[in-house]
Amino acid sequence: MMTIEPPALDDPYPEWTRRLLASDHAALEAVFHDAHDALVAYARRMMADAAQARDVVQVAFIRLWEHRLSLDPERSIRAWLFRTVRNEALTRLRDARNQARSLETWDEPMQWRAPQPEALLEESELGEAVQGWLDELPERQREAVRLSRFEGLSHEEIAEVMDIAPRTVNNHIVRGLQTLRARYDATWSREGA
Amino acid sequence: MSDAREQGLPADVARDVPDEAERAGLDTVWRAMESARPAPAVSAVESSVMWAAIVAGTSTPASESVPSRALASPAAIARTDRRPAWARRRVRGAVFTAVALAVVATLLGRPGAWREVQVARGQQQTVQLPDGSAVTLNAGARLRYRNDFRGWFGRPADRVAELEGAAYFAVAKDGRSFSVRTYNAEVRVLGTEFEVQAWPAERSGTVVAVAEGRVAFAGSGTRDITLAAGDRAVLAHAASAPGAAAAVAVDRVAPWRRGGFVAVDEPLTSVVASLERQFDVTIEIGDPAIADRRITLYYPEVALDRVLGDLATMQSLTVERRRDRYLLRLP
Repeated sequence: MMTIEPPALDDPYPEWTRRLLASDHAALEAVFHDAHDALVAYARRMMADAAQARDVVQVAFIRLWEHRLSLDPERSIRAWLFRTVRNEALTRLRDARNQARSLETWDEPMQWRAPQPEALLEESELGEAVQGWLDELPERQREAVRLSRFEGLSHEEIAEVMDIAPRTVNNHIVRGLQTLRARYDATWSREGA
Repeated sequence: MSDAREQGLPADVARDVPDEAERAGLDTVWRAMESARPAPAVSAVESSVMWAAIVAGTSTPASESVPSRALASPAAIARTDRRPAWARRRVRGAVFTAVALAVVATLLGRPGAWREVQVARGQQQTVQLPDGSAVTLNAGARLRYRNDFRGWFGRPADRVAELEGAAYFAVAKDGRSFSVRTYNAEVRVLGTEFEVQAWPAERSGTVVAVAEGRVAFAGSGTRDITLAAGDRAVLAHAASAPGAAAAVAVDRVAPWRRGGFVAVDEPLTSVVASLERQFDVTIEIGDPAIADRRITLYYPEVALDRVLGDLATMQSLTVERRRDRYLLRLP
């Protein structure tokens, strides 16, 4: 099932990738300015410490520069950055955990910050309500939905970031949206009634 | 990021939901989610600071011209950035704020920013620190330090560096102590030469070997030990204090600086990881059963094929050269 989405016409990433391959430091800066905020937001969802989250993103950009000569121009460096941030954040969480000498094995794929379910009933603002519902989704669904909706990543990119099949990405997103839609309908029909 | 702000459901999702009413419902909630878009995670100032750190980490060798380079680049942004003018103005505003902050910081004598150096696989790099000390970083290592070792109002501050990986420190004596922090240990010295090695991702613990002078080596516990020239000690991954010192020949301290290789009672996985970094290759361990075998090796000069051959002989393994990797396994 090879359905090819036409690339967004003004997507500057392919050119930035080519310029990185040519060791153009200004291209790194352009990528940084475009992507760093979304990457920090993404890291922040895994790590409570904001300074650590920024540090993880810095490391990802430094690695991008170091790996520039082996970049594949056909592949998304945005996905590469998200994936590197994810791996680095997980490594640090694991190390922090080990250092705290809690030695039980690490089998949770991701430690997200805890959702706040009780906040939800009080919310009157749609945005806050949606935020609360999102927090209650299973974590893989939540991650896929957020990357798709807020960071604008394609399914292929998300698959690469999360290290799962594009097919599975789609399943996560569809399921997540179905849950959100049920919550949305329930709230709005109740208010409308 | 040209995003789906104004667009509805992604095509992949829509294709998967044949029922039209349901598709419309998902589309509604997809659009409603715009109201939950997270606020910017990074302020303009934080963004400038991050970029300065990245510039420091991507200019090799770490040079003193970093700040001017970090600030000289808005022209480059304008050239390459396709975002709307307001967004570029925000960047220019950020740069202006960063300059203003830098001026204020200089006037107040604020402590210097952290500088970071990371060495690629297959490479080594020597960094001159602002106090005259020199640090040689082995492949894959990462070092962070304050760029001037100065505290508030320009007063000399303790010298502190953070290390991930293997590095050889030649610390200049200047009356202040010098600390190297790893993920689980701290090594304090006055003026001496020593190697520190700690790979957090491999849970390697921290290994310290001293070539000259004395160092104090401590973990998270209260007990620390003093190591003299020719001493080597290990603080295990889950331990709070280092184990007893053992003797090491001084010429076997960080032999990688001269193209050598050493492993002292390390698991095969660590030895393989070191070789991968030093030679920038991939080596696969084909049998989990052999991963934890303890290995001791020393080469004053090393060639990858020779180490792998010797490992195979010593451990009764086979080594195969695949297209993009080596494979070590039981015969």
